[in-house]
Amino acid sequence: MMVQVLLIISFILLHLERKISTIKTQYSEEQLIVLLKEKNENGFHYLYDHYSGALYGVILRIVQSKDYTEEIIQDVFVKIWNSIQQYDSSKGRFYTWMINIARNTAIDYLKSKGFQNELKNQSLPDFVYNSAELSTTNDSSDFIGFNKVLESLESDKKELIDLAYYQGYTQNEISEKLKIPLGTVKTKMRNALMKLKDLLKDYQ
Amino acid sequence: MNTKEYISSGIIESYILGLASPDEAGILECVMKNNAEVKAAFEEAQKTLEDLATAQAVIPPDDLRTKIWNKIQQEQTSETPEEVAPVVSADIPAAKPQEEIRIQGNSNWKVYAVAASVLFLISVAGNIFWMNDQAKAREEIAQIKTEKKNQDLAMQKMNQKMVMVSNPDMKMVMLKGVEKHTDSKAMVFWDTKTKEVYLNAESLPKAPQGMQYQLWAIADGKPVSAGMYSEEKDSKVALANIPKAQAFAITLEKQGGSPVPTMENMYVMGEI
Repeated sequence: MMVQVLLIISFILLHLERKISTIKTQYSEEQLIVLLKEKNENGFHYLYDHYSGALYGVILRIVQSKDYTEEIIQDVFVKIWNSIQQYDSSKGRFYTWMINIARNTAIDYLKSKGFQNELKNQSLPDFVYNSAELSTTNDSSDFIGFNKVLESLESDKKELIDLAYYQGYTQNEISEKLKIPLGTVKTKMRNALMKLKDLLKDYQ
Repeated sequence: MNTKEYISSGIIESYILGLASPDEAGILECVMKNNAEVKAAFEEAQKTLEDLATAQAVIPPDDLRTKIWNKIQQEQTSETPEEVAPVVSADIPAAKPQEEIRIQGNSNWKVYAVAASVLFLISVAGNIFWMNDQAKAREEIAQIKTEKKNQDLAMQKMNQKMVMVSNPDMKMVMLKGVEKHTDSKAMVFWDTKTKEVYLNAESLPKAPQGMQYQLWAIADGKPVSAGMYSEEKDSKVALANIPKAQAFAITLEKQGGSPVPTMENMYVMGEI
């Protein structure tokens, strides 16, 4: 009979712990990954609650259109959901992994033929930086409501991040476009990110 | 190239942005495993871009969550058509997220409750099994105890017989089976000093209900009752006092005995 009593107690404890973990809104990255691997719906909601804004922002920054962003972010979430088994923590953090999925999906979209044609029809060469259509009155944000942290960067650093991060230029392409040696592209990229890190401290 | 130069070369940032060549990436992955400083720089650079993403987050439209969830559900059902989507999940996306979580929580609770009851049942079954085992063991012990008792009794009897056999005054008369009962035999111990007669007749078939073996002493051609036999008396209690006899015989008689032997029910007989 001792055995049963111990079992009951341990199950009550386990159940309570589970209940608490269901109620609590804070999962560690590892816990979230486990939930997603289990295809747990709570995992999806937690993922959405905590990352949809950031991923939406990344995509919007790349494609510069809320309509496209809404389409792309759906694909991004489906990709995260379906390829969570392929996530390898030794190759980078989970959040970074998701950001890169969002970036790559959006950049692929940007480079796809259909999208290029639409861009031509819009005949807005500097579309990327001057979308008047999506303006906002928030003074700490730019035209789409972006935080202005990137604008505080020196222009060469900002350009580098824009090209590499938001437009998917390869290092060779950047080297050609900016007419600087490949090695310099890399070190400049590092300097830009170091500077960005300092700037971001003020935004936390 | 030392660690600091390697880090400041910008390879880490290239890797995170997905711009590093496969060779560069392979080297970095290897270096990171062995160099904590590089690993730390890698974590830091990731953090920077994550912070950038967080800082530039834009609140998505309200209906996006449901759209995405529906799409995930659709993909799952279309990818695995044999896996029928549960009714609950088909209905839920329209509901409020909080509700979904609650339902999910409830079903978790149910799963745990079921798991707990299953384990409880297993444990009960285990206990019943264990108790059965105990009962079996107890039964076995009881059996062994009775066996031991029987053996002790047998031993006692043997000892008594030994005493009788080793008694120099004791005369032993072997009674052999007659006619239908050739397999039967018995032994009469006749104390020549006290004239008491003991009988060992355990090898005789068990007397039927209401019947009893009777020992007869044949003295001068006449059968004289030498007492009624019962298992308790075997080799232990004197059946009678027989001063004179030339032979002994056993017949099966009605309970209590008969004044004259029923000849057709004679089992064994032996001359002195």
